[in-house]
Amino acid sequence: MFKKYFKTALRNLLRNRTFSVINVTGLAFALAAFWLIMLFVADELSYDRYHAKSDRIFRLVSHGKWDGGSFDITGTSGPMAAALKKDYPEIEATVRLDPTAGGLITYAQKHLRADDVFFADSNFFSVFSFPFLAGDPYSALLKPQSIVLTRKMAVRLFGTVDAALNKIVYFQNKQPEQVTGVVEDVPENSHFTFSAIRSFPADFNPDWSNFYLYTYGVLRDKKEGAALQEKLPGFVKKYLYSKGLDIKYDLELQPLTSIHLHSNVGYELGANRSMKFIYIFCIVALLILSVAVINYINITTARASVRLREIAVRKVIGSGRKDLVCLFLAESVTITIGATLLSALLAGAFMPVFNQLAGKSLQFWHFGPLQTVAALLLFAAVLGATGGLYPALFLSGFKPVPALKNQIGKQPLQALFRKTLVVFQFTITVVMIVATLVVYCQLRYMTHKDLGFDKNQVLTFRSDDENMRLKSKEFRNSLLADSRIEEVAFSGSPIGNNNIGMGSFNVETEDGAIDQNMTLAYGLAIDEHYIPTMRIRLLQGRNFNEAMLTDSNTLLVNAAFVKKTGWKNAIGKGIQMGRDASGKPVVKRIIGVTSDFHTYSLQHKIEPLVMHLPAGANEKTNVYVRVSRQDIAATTGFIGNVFRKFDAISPFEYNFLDRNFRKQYQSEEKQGKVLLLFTIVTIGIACLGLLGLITFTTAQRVKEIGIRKVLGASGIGLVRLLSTGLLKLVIIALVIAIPVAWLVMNKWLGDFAYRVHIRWWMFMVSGGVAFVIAGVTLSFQTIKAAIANPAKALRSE
Amino acid sequence: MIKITNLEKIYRTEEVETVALNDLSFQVKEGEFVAVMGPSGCGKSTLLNILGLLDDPDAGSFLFNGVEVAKFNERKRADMRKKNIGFVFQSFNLIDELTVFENVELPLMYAGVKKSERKARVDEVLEKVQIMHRRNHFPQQLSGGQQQRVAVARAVVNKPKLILADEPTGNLDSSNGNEVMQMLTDLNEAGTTIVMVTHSEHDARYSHRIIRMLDGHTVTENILV
Repeated sequence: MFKKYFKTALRNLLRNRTFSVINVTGLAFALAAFWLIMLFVADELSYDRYHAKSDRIFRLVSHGKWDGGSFDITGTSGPMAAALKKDYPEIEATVRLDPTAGGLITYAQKHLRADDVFFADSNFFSVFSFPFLAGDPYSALLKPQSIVLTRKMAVRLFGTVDAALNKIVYFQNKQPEQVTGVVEDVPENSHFTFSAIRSFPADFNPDWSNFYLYTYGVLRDKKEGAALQEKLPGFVKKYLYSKGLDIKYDLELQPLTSIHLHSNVGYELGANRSMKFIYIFCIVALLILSVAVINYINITTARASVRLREIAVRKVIGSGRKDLVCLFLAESVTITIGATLLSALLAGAFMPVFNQLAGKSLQFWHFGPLQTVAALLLFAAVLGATGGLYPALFLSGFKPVPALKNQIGKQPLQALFRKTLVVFQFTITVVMIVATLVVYCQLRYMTHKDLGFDKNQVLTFRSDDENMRLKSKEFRNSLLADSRIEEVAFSGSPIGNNNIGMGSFNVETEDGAIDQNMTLAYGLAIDEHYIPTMRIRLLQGRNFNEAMLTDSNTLLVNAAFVKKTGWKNAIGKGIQMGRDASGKPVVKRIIGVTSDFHTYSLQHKIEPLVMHLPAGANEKTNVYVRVSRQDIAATTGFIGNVFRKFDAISPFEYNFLDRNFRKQYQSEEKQGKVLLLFTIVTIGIACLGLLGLITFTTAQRVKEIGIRKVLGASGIGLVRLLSTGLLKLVIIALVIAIPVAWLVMNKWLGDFAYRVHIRWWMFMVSGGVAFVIAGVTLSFQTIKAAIANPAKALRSE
Repeated sequence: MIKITNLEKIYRTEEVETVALNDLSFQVKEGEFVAVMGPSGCGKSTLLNILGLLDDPDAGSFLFNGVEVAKFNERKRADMRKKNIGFVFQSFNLIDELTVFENVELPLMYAGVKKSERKARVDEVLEKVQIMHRRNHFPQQLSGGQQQRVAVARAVVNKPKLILADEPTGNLDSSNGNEVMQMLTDLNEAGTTIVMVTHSEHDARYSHRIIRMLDGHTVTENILV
């Protein structure tokens, strides 16, 4: 019986090719988009799950709060790991990571820069599962000065994996390390990645007051997590408050597998995403699919009158309603299976583009070929049954006698239902257009906003060689000898990479005393050329002058710092910068206030900033070169040559400052591009539905159009007559979409410290786009019908 | 086989009330061939729909083989219909997506007949109506006469006790029309009861008895045999 159903269904679809093509194509594109999003989501949800102990591993993060501020950071203090393991038997193991192990790696004449290198405890590879290609995971990091490389790093340094084992490499040209293992490259679905892991130095002995290490642990039983969390305040009391910590401090256990989508604290090891983003993607996938399913429902129910006689005959000769429902469900399942096959081809074809847009390396056969095919077919059947149920019940419900006479009636409820669905489709479409437009405007805003300094034409690179840092003045002068170099400056930390460290300071109050409450601020070491090179405005006071020896005891602050302290006049105020060797507080005086400028990307608010002169040559690690606009390639070549004269070994790897900032918006850019892609797909599918409806409506009204033409109706009048109904629905959709889009996008923009405001013209443009596209779609059929020969239409009747 | 008594059927719209059947009573015996005639709108088709259990009367009694079916629900009517009644329509009403064989096979499928038996019975009936050579063609590839032969084959394949024919020759030329009438006569002679609605005096003469209707009730009955 089922075979018969499918055979009949297939013939029916072939006989009505136009509608079948509309249904299959729309569904295929929607399903392709759906698969791609699902693969994306599956990949996001798979982060860190490849570790054998993933369900038992946790990360420890810190939350601090006091009157002057608060912090939420990944950093924990060094002794915590051992103390936790000692105090809590439910913890099987703990391991610490120190992210400051990167730098220049040298083997023979080969020098590579690698910043993604960690120091780690010796049990790192028994906690985390990284397959060893050479060496032993349990002993690789036992001895100090051991290093385990990834396959890629091993091949870069030694040519092959096998050649790497037991070789000696040097860090910063002076620290020898023996290669004791090679592991597979870190999978992309990891919340942190590395190219090498080094054992901690023999003299590594961190204290309780430095919160910069990453601490992970393994529970003996995954269910112990919640109970352990409850015990941590006691741990803090025992080890931290007892040592004089005078802020409210909490430790939080984060399950390893939830870090990527649920953690957003300071100093994350990679670009985490938000679960909100995953929900948005899933909703978009379902909306696209629903737009295509609505097409099927609308076209099938609209065409009911064509199927009436068949339905009646089947009923007359004995078919029950169940048989008819099965038949119509078979049709919808046939369509979804056809669409699924096509969607697999489309998804495969679009995969490279999607991967590029989303920054992923997704594979179509991610779940395995058999599982994928089974899942696709099952999904097609479920989708076909779900989407086909309403049309099946609707069509099978006609009474045979009026159906035999083609007396279907006007079906006002069904017509209203169809109209509602069209409105729903276009509401989704308009919301997606508005969303795309807002994302685009926000991206444009972020990349074009005045950052408080001139980020253009600034080339930046690291100075790894100590000798070069010591000769920074000569290096600067050599560069300035060329007229294409406008300015050169040095700083301790790079800006635009979102990783300047925050510090806490005790500041002088208006009455001259030092406030015992700490003020949290970024700290940045800059030389005297930094302010003019970056074209930062001085609001008050003066810039550093390195010729004045006393300037080493002076500071610049930004306007946000002054605002936070509430000073009326900042010049001359003191800030305590730690203590000297004898334990005496070191107070430095403010000599200038700059305007606020962004050191982090625009997702972050401008925070108070304290600038000081580098304490020594070693703090001049980042070089900023402002270049003229002429012949950039030759200029960078020149800078490279000068660099090589001062540092014969380190690779000259430079970036443009504006691109550094832009890199921080990659996630939003990817979101924007993916959203644009899916918006285009949604518009296309919604228009296919409109095309289907208007094609059918026009065909049904051929006689009416003929008579109207004979009676003198104009072509334009007929186009208006045929299009008005559907265009009205698009207008209703616009009205509904505006508040929905406003709410959704306002929420999205809420994540940005600096954001555009949603303007009325965005809705006008989005509505205009939807209206014009709908109008053009309708005009294909309406114009054709309006210019057709009326005699032909009337004769055929 | 059929006994209807004081049958009434009224169609109502918001403004108009149309009496289709008005106090109609008659009987059809098993093995009879009855023609129902009358002008358009006299209630012939309504009567046929009620006899075929496609529609229900507003009042009166309808005994089918001694069972009161006037108040049957849709499911019972469908069940009674597929076991006992075959239909032949003026416009053939074949399903375009199915081949000749599949069209004829359909009532057997709905009746739950096994595949092997279905094939034998469809082949037998297609032989009988001389359309076997076209068994794999689709309706649109056939002439009107051929299509009506397929429709007759479909109506009889389930061996119904009653065949209801609604102007079976209305869309056919005289030669094809005569062929179809001869087929119905043969079926009747083989024991099938036939009730036929027609406008054609010529076709009516194939029957045993003519019931003439006007404004929803019988006006005369002519016994021909």
